[in-house]
Amino acid sequence: MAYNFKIMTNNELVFEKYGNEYEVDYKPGTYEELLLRVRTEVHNGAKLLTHPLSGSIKPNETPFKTVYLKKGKGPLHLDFDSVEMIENAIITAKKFKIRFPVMPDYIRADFALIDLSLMESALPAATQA
Amino acid sequence: MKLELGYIKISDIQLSNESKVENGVLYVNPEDIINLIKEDENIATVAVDVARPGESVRITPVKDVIEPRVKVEGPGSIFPGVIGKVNRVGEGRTHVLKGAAVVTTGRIVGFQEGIIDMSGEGAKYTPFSQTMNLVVTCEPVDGLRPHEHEKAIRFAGLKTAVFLGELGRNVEPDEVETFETLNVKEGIEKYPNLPRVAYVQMLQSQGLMHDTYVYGVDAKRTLSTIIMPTEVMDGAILSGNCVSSCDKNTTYHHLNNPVIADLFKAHGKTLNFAGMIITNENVYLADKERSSDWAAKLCQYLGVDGAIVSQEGFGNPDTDLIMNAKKIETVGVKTVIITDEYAGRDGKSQSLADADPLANAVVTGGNANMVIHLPKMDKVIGHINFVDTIAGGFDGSLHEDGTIEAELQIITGATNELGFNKLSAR
Repeated sequence: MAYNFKIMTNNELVFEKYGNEYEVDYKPGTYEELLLRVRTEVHNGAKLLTHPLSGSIKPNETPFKTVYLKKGKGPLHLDFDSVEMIENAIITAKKFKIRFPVMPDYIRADFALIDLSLMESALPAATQA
Repeated sequence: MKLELGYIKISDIQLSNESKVENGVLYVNPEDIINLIKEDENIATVAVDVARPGESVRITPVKDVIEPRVKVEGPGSIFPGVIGKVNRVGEGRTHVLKGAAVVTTGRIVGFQEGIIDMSGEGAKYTPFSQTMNLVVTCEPVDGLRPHEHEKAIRFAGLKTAVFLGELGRNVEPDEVETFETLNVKEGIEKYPNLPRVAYVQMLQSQGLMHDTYVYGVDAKRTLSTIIMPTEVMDGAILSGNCVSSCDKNTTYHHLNNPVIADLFKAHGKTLNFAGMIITNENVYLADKERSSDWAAKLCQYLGVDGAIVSQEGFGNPDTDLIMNAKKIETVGVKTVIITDEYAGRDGKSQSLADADPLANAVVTGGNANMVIHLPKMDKVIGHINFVDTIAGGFDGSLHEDGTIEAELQIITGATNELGFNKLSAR
């Protein structure tokens, strides 16, 4: 079935679990790099379906972020609410200094799992929309 | 709907060979607690400790804090739909072991969070340095997945609190306080000249370790609805939320919601506390729109003059908060919002991730980025090594001499967005 949303993530766990079922745009990178990739999509007319700061784990703690977007019709069809929201999210993310330059693998795995859980909590709404 | 809360004042907790409440002392036989919790085969080991105000004790990582209560008259039992059967609560009489708390700890994920210091600098910022705490540390069986682990520890705490609450069933309370919510018609007739005020409580509801339960239902699967404030006092809302310790609402916070307490105090004097609305904080933006639409609609339907809106958590709930404020103002109801701030270590950055000119009356619980220094404690209950990796700590925040340099957000309840804390700004 074709859905009209896509998932952007830097979390390999999300890609592994859902990459075959949904359109998952996975690219390893930092939390901020992921937000910047999302902003590029928003500048091309995509609409945010989930909040880019989902979860109460701070942007400088978790390395992972997953965002749902509705595919855009090009830069002439900007969704200004999405533009504002992603810009505010980037400002907020920059406010926090990266805490864990080197993170133990088991903690990375836990952060990946929490991000997956946040992503899964939006899945019923996205697939039913 | 009328509820009497009977406060049994607890001045100490003692480990003993018999569990009972006598002369204001809560005696606990650790074996009773251990046997109760180990009924769950997902829990491998249980340790029971007592932490008292003023002691050189650090509890970390804190999962939940729960006040022991027992329903002695009226329908239902504490934590309906979870520990008790699904049966409406909020009427009759409930006994409270006032001054006592159950604190659960345990490593669910590697970056687990929350510190309660019973003395020193950190004690100033958490209300739970002032309670007699029965601390329950649970370790899971090998290979237990985080979802099941979170649930096991959540239930361990609730069951312990219900067990302790039951010890107060036949004890005469030191003080009884009565809370009554009139129906809409009676309220208007009784206080025709007082402004009618509603309380809108936002509940964290985003996924693993970010959840809240209402009568046992995961709040993310609910639409905004009306609840009686006295139902909340009987445990209708409880916390499965263990991320962002400074501004999450523990189950203790829900049972003792200060917004409800203060609205009852002002009720009939300066205002008419007309009702309470609960609404969730989901990840999906259309859910945020829908839930805030419904919160505003319910305010409009109740015909209130004002609403107090409290937030839970950081970041994207700022968006729910602003949507609620904006939409409730737009239907002609004045709002005051309660939040906390992430304004940077110098306090100069933008505090919230969202804003609107209609959200022009704000109460803050403090700046969670403020840096604090915590002394070494003689005793640590839980897992100190996680301090380096919990919210508000940072690489190297746990020094070799046992002192901690971290942001305020490391402390359980420090910037609570119900106002159950001491920080604010004018």
